[in-house]
Amino acid sequence: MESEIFSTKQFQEESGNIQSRVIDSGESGAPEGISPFPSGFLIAQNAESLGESFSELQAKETVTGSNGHSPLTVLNIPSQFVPTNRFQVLQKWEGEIIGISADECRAVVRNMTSPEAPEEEVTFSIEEISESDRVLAMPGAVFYWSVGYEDSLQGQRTRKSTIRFRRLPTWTKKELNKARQEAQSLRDLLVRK
Amino acid sequence: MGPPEMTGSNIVLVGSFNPSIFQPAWFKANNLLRPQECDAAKIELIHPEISSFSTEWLKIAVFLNRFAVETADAHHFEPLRDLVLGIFGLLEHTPVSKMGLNRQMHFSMPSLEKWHGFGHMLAPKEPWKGIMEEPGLLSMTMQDPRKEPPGYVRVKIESSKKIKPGIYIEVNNHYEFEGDNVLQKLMIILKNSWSETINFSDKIAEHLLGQEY
Repeated sequence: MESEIFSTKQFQEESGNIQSRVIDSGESGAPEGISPFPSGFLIAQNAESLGESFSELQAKETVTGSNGHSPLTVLNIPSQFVPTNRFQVLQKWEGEIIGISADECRAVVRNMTSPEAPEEEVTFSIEEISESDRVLAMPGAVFYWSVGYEDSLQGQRTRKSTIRFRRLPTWTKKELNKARQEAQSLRDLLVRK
Repeated sequence: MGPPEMTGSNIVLVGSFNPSIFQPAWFKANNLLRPQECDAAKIELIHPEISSFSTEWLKIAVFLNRFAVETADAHHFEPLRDLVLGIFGLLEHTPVSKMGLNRQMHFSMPSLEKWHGFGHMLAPKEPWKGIMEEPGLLSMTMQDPRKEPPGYVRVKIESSKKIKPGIYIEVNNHYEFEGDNVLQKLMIILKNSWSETINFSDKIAEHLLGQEY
């Protein structure tokens, strides 16, 4: 039913950007700063912006809660995430390390920009890897390699190549013990006595 | 139509969370982010009911009923997914019911005429004639229900506030489950479908902007 789709409750529980509620929830009256155009779109000064999932509205709604003990506005969360630079991807690969020496890494890479392209083997200097990721560079490690333009807020465009390794959570003792037990069970099953 | 001038993506989970956990030190201790990133993280607020901090490429905001992480850097779409998989691999018993895999894009339009034309194509003004003097499209949301996995795709289109003249397109891939192991089901979708949803968002934009107007 349409009325359910647009109810306030429904919007509170949705997984999209919060700001969409401000615009879509049928609040009466136009936002301030609207300049109507005779056709096409209206210019809405208070309409969307990138990163509005962190709007002040959310903070207010959450902290006031249903028990009503908190004051109406207690926290001022910045309304949007403002990145310092903008990265325009030209080409992106996902790679897996297949060999590593003191100076070089060998990897198989898959083109994520053109998934139909065949896998390729590449060799690159270990210097290309950020120091904080070098500890992760070992056979089997997965990384993302992007080439593109970085535009600074000052308008400077720089061609950039970045490598970032996939990070997986540290194994807990419990998980290690469980894995050991499973390995032992398999071993018992497979090894003839 | 070329690639978006600006883009971003976010992953939102609706459920029950303990915001206090989500601090840079926790991410560092669990190898979820680079140690240097955690040390340099800009903390906006750490509170029992809200946690919010950002690094150079991502922002995390966790409320009692909502977890959201986002990046405005297309280079980091996959690390964003891995981060969420890592977090909820550790917090595997978190009660979660819904997930949104969202994408935002700002496209530059070649001219004001094209910009108006696109608005006209989406929302013809004829039905409004006689009742409004200068009707103009402010925002449009189209929803397409999905049976499997349960949820919907919602596309919102507006005039871009960042680019003039420009179009803003936001795609919300919404998933929701009831019953047991919801988090596990959602994480499988995230793991297997993230790249697909990013590509699907591109296709939606390409399809709409590629029309005649």
